[in-house]
Amino acid sequence: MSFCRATFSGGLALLVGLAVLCSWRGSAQTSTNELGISAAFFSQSWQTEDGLPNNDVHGVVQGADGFLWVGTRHGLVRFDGAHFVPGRAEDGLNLSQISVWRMGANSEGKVVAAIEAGGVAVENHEAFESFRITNGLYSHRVLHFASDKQDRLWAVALDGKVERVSKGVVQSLGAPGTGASGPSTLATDRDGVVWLASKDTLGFFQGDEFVLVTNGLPPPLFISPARGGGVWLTTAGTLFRVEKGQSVIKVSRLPWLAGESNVRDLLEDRNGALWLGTSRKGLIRFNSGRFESVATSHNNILCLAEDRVGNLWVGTQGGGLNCVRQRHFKVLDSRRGLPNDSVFSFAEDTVGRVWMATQDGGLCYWSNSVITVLGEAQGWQRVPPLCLAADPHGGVWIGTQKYGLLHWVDGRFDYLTRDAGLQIDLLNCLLLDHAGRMWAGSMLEGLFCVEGGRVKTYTTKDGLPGNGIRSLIEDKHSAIWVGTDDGGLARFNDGAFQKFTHAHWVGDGVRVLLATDDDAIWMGTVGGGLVRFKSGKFAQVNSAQGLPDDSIQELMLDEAGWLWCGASRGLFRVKLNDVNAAADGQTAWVPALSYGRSEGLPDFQFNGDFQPAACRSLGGRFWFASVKGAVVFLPEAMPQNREVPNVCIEAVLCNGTALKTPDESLLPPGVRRLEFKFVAPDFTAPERVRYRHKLDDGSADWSPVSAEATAVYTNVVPGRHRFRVIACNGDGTWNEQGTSLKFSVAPFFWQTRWFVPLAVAVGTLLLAASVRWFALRRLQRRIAILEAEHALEKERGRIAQDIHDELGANLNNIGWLADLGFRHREQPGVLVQDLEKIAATARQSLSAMDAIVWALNPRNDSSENFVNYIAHFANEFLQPTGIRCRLDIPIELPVRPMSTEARHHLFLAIKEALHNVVQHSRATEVWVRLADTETELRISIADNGCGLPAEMTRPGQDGMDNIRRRVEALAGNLRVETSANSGTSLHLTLPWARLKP
Amino acid sequence: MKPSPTINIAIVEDDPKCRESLQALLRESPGFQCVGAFASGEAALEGMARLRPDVVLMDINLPKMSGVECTRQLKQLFPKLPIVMLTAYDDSDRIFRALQMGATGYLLKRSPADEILRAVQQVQLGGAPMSNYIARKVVQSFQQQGASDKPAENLSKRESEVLGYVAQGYTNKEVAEALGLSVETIHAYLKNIYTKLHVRSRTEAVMKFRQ
Repeated sequence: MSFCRATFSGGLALLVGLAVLCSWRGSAQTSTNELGISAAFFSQSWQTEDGLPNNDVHGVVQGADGFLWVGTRHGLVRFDGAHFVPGRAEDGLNLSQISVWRMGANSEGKVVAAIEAGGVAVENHEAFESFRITNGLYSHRVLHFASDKQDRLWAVALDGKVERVSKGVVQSLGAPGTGASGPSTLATDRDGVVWLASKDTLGFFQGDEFVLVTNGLPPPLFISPARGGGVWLTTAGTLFRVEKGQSVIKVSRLPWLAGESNVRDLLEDRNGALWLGTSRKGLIRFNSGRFESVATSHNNILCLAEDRVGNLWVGTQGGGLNCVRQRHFKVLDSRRGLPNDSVFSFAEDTVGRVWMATQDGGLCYWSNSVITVLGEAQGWQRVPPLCLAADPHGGVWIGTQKYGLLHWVDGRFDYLTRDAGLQIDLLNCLLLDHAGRMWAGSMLEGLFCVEGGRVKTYTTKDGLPGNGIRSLIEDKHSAIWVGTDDGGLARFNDGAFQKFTHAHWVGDGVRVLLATDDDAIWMGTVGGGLVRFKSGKFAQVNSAQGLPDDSIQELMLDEAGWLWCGASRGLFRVKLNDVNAAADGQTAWVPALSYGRSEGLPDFQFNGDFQPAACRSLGGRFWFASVKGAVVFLPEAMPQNREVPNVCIEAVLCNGTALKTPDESLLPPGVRRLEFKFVAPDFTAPERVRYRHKLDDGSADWSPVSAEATAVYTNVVPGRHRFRVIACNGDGTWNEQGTSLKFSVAPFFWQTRWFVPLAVAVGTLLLAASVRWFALRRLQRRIAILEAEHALEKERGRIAQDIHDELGANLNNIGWLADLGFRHREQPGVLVQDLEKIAATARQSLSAMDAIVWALNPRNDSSENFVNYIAHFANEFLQPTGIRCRLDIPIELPVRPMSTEARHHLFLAIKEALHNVVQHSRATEVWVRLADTETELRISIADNGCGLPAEMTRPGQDGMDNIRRRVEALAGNLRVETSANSGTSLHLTLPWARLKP
Repeated sequence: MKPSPTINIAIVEDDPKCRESLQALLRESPGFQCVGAFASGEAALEGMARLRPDVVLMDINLPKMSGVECTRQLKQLFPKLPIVMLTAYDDSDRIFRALQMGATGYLLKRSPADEILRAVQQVQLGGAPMSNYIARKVVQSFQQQGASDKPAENLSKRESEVLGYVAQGYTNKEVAEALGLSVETIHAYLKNIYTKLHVRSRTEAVMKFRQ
């Protein structure tokens, strides 16, 4: 028989232990070199395939935060009960690579690791701070260390030298004792005394002085603090207890070490038991003067540690990490002598035998840890037994398949119903009531009652809710309750059935009934959880309220008020008070403790097809039927882990990227997905650790209780947030405080507080600006229209003025000259003069009209036409006067557009200038010059006369003022040069920009 | 028509040919004498005192200082001097303004020379030539600006009647017949109306000045 990992391979010594043990080592129990295997403990192990970096575990220690640190030959990892995570370290220390020689904790509870390469590493918050012992120890492996009450770390190296580290300062204490190299251990006892065992020498330190206690002991020596004071000491063959100032006490010989095994580690647990980790001999427990072996995954033990809830951690060489726990459940199965693993029903008879019906016709009873299987020798025909009931007279009733109801009494089986002529296919349940009636429920044929040797049958015709009877119980008022396959409940009282039906719970039907002292009937249902019938009302409690399973097959209530439920997927217990509170609607959550792998009950399916499927035997043991055997336990002895679990936020992922420093971090805008990973270390039942979390205290409720160690929030709004997570350990002890993490999410600019007012303001401004712009544009258009209208009006006014000035005056004059001529009608000489004046004035008017019409004609709106017209006009104007007209005009002038107004003004200006020449200059020649620069039109009119008359050179004179006014109207410039010798020159300079239309 | 002494006339006319023709016309007409001709308003203001004409013929359309302005200034210097406006067109706005400034009447340049001379005679005799549309303007003026605070400035019933007839196109003679009054009386009424019109104008000017 070999040990495998994660086994429960200790024997059930009470039942079959001796025989098994005898076969195990093939040697007699009486041999002093062999030890019995304890059945009271079982171990669970983790090896490389579970995530452990190496199967040589040199050190285990629980840190202050509850995590377990495991140092192996190749890597230092953190363990939370389910996962191994590489430890984080500061620069220079690669925890996934280092080889750990030993682990422990200093007086502050910080984790300390001795590293094979030399020196020790001390936990610094979440990282290991690497500091190394110098002064010669650097190159030597630290074999063992201990920290004292002054937080000084004592280390002993392979060469026996002792160093003491205090606040980073290293002090060498030399190699006390013989100074010989060899295995050495240090231990700090209850009183703070530091002990050293080195090769064959034991002593302690007093200040810096080593005080020798004894030497010459057979090495190797190993010491460990004793709870009672002083240290435990093992030598090659003996266990001692040593206290300061007292003689060395020999506790026990260790003959089973037999020279082939050494003690590698020593640990006294919280209950005072001493554990010895040995090479080759595995784990040995010493308690009450007895040694016994406890099975682990490997016989080479390297280190021992106890966690805060009392689990013993065992590091092995080659077998990985083990957790050793006390066994609370016994499982009786075919290996322990049962006819079959699948147990159907129990009944304890009057002499304390617990009868068991198993699959395939098995019938047996347990008595004083011995199982007796009934066979043909006992008259048992191996008819398939399904359910059992014991009678107060020592007999046992057996419900069977095909054979109906049997009664065993005094070694004889009576086939009661068969003999009564009843053919019954399956009998599901039995009940012997206090009145002595035997009730038997069948699968199809209803309910039978045997009273006084007569069998009476009840079916739906008699008021039963169904003919498939699943469970029968008697309450304290002697009423019989019947649970049926289709979910019905009925009470038999005073010879009649009363039905209670309720359609509000979901489930296939009733499996088991339980009556409680408060006159409630509890029903375990398939798929519907627990249903309470009380005061005529039904109430349901199921997985929605925290039950681990909705198919409740077996129910037992213990003295402490725990309701034990055998369910399709394992065993759990809940406080009846809690379930009642949930049924009453007072609480929404029922804390449940479930049992599975961690208690050595992996994948146990509890089977309540045949009732009673659970019973309480003498001495308070509970028996539960399962497909893997009978599960036996003392409910009162069941421990509950009340250690409040620590919960740690391990990582925060924002949009899939892990945050480096999650606490108080400011997240960028647009947090689509925020993921929190957290863990609560639990080593007793890590699979039952549960979490609740919430974001922001005010706004959200706690999440539903979940085993998921991850919380995901999507689209986290900007602002300050606080994430909280709380956890409960495997036994339902909650850490209500939990842990929290504050962070902020930055808003997008449009999510900021000032954005909306700003946007409104900007929008308003934009609106105002655009309104203003449009208004301005409209105004500009209107102004342009008005200007155009005004220009038109101005033009019309100018034309009217021209016609008036140029033509009106002449025509008036012609009128008056004609009137004058009429007066001169008697004087022909004078009359002729009048007529000549009339003719001249009329021609002059025509000429003026021609100029006006020319200026108005849009076809003449170009510089070329203007120049031609001027040339033509000058010639024509000057010809009658006898003054020579000389033109100095370039043959080719660039053609530029000229407005009517410009042509008009310029023409009149030139005309007036020529008029002045004719009137005043007495000149013989006039030069009219035109020049075109790119920007200007230059016109000059120069004569060779006598200059301007004195009255014309005075400012305010008519002729020149008119010309100046016209030139200035076109933004031009007039310069006049005049002298009596060289005549008069007028220079007109006009910008083209103002001349175009 | 009663024989009358020679009427001394001064001309204000910017166009030299017209001025010359008008001078010649007056020279050739018995009973009229051109005592002076001015080419501009400024020259007229300067030389008028020296000439002491009986009537001034004022071209309404003068460069720089307009005929209206010249009239206003001359009337301040010589309140009793009759000034008759000469205008090429029926520019009623300008004519009306000239009347407000104290012009006694107005003549169209295109009127036959004899008509012009007759009007000058009439004015010299205290008449006040007014065409029907100018009369309408005068009525509008009194109606639009409302009753003045000074009762004297408001038209009497008879004056309103006369003005009404004139505005309807009645000649002075027809008005006289219609009202059973003499033509001279009508002339007097019209003169009075003009005076009130001037008063209104001046009062307003003074009031505006004070403001």
